[in-house]
Amino acid sequence: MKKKLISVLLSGAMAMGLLAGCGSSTEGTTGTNSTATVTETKTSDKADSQEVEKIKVYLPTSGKFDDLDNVMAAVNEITTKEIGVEVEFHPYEFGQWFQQYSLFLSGTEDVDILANYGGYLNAVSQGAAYDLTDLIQQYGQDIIAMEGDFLKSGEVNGTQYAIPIYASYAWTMGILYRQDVVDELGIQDLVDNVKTLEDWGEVLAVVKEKKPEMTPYVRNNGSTATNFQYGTWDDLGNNYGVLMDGGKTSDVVNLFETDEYAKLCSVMHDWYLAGYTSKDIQTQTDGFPTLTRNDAAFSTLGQADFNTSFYQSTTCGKDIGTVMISTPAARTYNNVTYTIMSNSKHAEAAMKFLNFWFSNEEVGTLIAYGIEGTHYKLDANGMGDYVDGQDSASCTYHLGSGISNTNRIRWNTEDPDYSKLLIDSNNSAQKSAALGFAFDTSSVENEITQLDNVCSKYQIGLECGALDPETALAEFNEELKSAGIETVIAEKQRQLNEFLGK
Amino acid sequence: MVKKDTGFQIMDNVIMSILSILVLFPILVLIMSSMSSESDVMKYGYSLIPRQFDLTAYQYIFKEGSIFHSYFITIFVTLVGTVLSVIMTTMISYTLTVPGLPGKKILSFYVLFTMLFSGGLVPSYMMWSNIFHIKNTIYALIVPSLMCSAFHIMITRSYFQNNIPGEILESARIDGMSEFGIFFKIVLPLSTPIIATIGFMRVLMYWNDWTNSLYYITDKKLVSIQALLNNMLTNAQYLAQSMDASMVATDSASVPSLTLRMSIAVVGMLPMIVLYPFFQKYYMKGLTVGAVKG
Amino acid sequence: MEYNGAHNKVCANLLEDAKMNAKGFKKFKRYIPFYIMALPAIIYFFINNYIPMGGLILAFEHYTVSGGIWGSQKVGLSNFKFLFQSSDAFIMTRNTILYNLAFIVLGTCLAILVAYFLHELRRNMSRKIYQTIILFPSLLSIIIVSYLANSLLAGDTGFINTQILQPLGLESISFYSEKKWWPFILIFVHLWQMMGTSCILYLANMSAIDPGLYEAASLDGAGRWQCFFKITIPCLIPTIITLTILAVGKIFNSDFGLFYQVPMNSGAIMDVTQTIDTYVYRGLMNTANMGMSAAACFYQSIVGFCLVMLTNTLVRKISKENAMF
Repeated sequence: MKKKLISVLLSGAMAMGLLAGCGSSTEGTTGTNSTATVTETKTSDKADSQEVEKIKVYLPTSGKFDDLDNVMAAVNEITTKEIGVEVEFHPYEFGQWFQQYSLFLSGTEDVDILANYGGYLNAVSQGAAYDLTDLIQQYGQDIIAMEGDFLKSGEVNGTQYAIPIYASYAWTMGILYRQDVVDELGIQDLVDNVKTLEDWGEVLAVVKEKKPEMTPYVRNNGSTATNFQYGTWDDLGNNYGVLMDGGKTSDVVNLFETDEYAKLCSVMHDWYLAGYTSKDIQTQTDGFPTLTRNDAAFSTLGQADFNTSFYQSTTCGKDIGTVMISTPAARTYNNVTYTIMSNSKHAEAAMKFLNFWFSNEEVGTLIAYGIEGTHYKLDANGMGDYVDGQDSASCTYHLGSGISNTNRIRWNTEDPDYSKLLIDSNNSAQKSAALGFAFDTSSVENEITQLDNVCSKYQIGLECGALDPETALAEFNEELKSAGIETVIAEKQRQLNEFLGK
Repeated sequence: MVKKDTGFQIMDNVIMSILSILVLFPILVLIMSSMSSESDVMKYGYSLIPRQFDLTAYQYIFKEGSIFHSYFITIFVTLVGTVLSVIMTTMISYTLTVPGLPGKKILSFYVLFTMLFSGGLVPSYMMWSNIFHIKNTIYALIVPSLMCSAFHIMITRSYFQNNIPGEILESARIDGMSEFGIFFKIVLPLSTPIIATIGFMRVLMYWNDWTNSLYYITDKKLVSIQALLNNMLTNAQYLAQSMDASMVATDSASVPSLTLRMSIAVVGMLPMIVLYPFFQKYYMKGLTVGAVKG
Repeated sequence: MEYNGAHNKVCANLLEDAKMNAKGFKKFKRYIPFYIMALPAIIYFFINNYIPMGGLILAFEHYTVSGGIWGSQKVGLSNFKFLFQSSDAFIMTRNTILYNLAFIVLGTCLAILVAYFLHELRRNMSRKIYQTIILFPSLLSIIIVSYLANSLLAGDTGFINTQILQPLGLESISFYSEKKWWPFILIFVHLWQMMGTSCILYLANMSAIDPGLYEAASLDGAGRWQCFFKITIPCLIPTIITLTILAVGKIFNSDFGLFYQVPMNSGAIMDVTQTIDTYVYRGLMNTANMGMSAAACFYQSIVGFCLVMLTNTLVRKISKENAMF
């Protein structure tokens, strides 16, 4: 009965389409209809025979993918032979990606592998992430060999849900500044003596005086991110309960009540009053790289590790120097992870593919840069470059480096020794006591909605120095308490103890 | 009498001019900043006269040739969508004004209820893409927003009720005209102002819509102009704001952000400004009145 | 008004007609063409609006992919808790309602006045120009509007501060941290953006008023403003009522862009910019909990629904023909 109704409605919709007189698209509709039935029969076939399995990978990129089909053909030639899997990439531009991510998570789309930017916990709490604990043992040995302990940052309570890319885990809070301006003003001595955030004020004073058109200090992000997003503490997933000093101890404390936080806020407030920051710092609309490219900013606070100066110099197009405020510590940092959708019919194939992709340099390079000679060429040092006559805008395929990490040749804007340095940095770093811990928020969600609202009222203002910490910090803490921060911290400590007890 | 009217006309013009200036002023800032160099705006602030003209942002927008194709898609969708939508809206609105129609109350309620409750994005998305398979077809740009506004039905109904003289309908019925004939030959021609109004609102809606494209279209050949511009906007905004190491490829192209936002708004707005006077002629006073008297 | 009477007369005739043909089916038969006319819209609403309404069930469950919309675990009313638990609950409800009331009252008055001024202009050319101009803002997306507002209001680069206040030797204002400006700014931005479209609606209705009524009135010696209040306004009353009832149904909703993007998410002014929608967004931005956002939506709809029923009943009591159903 229901089916009949639907078919009646469907033909009604088709008739409406015909009314509109767009014959060409009618073709499209019937086309999709028939493919839908074909896929259905196909999948049932596949369950029986061990033929080539087809999987779909959804991910964001800031690069180009006009020539995706040709690259995928080349990729599939290899993967079909090696692991019996055919892949289909669905890249989205970043802006679109964030608007559609929740749709992908809801399971309405036919996704096998999903990229997660900024954490995979939502995927886990919606039951969208496949339990990979056994699969990774079976098909992911190369990943295990490569990532080792850091694989833990894809776990929740001992269950492997996500595969992180091998990224830089050891980092701390750092000051990023225009090295060329420092050289020009001849204040390198001053910079070398900077040990704390407070010391940096002297440098800012000079810059303010000698470079009146440049804002001495800006926020690193133009979005809603806070100024101390990359702190010296391990934020354990959100800032409600943190481990100080990069996780030297496992005592979860309230960050906003620590002396360190108060100190940071009061330094920022002094800068604000001294005019080192713009009056609009709270509502800044562009990030540090954009402002720097336009010579409008001198320094900011950000995430810093061994590669920051090099990396930011290429991003900002200016020579950037870094001062680290503390020693880098390895902590749970799962900015880019891949999960397999829980409703995927090809979980095994997906895992096989991830393992192959992450460990095979040929495929890794192919996916990141396209076909050699068509989309990129190797320069004299064996590093990637655009083919003659093309640049980042006219190139027809270039997903770029963000999507996976060590499994490819380096681009000519990168540090040639990046891979080696990265591994050294990760292995030698101090490790947070909570490395691999993921906070399950499901029992305190009501508190968190309130806390997030309290934070959007005070946090940016305090961390930018626009609010006076003498009065505002106390108010902030009071409101956090009444919103239930203590409940959340207690819950976090309980989960952490449980995690460490294992 | 005439003298007094001149006084009023002057006052009227003065008031409207002031209002226009209030409206235009921010738009002017918008247009001017879209043509300024980005670093000037960042350093010296916004102004009405650019320190130096810089059309980088426009070059960036038009570099992608697909923009003209997208204009075409949008125009097609807007035309078809608006015509269908206006026909459906006026027909049900007319039914709602028929006196003594059994079930009229229920029908009004049925329409109004859609305005108050909605199932949300995910269920609609599932239905349209899994049952009706409209993904990557031109339907996806037309159908999901075809009549999503009970609002238009209510105001059209209200217009019919107050401005269609009953005598005419009655005499037509006596002449043996069919109900459809009455509707198309008498009611619609008498209602040009409201048709132009809701038509224009639909045009605006279709023209400005980018969400359907965002959710249902991945084929580049079907991307509408606003979706294209919106993608550029959110992307540029995203890249401009973020400095997160892992998200932005080290070698991503440098795009203007601040001036791009402004020029995108100008590019999206222009065709509508050109098109609008076409609708305007329907608002002219006396257009319906002649028909009533005749 | 006259037409109304005429229309009612026809109603009566039709009804009498119907009674004369008293046999049940015949009576029904004459309405068939009208049902056919309504059919496309009825079917469309059923598909596009009513089927997805099943999704409202999300408000009462903890959504998981494996369970889908129908099979996920039911959690009762716990998804609604976060809306009422907060100490902000009062502020956000107050703001939402007060802003909406201001928008309804001021928006209607302004739209009618502007429509009247447009309507009364004698020269077609100037009317066309003004009308096109006031429509520009509705062509801008709210994101762009927020950047425009920022270009005027920003402390260091904004037009008001750098080009107006400073040259006059006045101290610059940091708008984004002073609460007192925002009720005015938000109302102004809203009116600025919406005036064009709501004004053409009244203009359409004005142009349909019989000029004979004005002629008769001026023969009786009525002045321009008397005509405006005694003829124009009464003729617009049905439209005003319809629009107001519809707006009342949305009184717990707010234009998210206006309250979040235009104030640039500034914390210092949150007491006057927080609405239910921004609260929900800020609270769920990081968790993306589908159940809780569905709950918020459901809550707004239910309140809107009750208010519409209430206003409609009131209207019905006062003048039956203007009620919506």
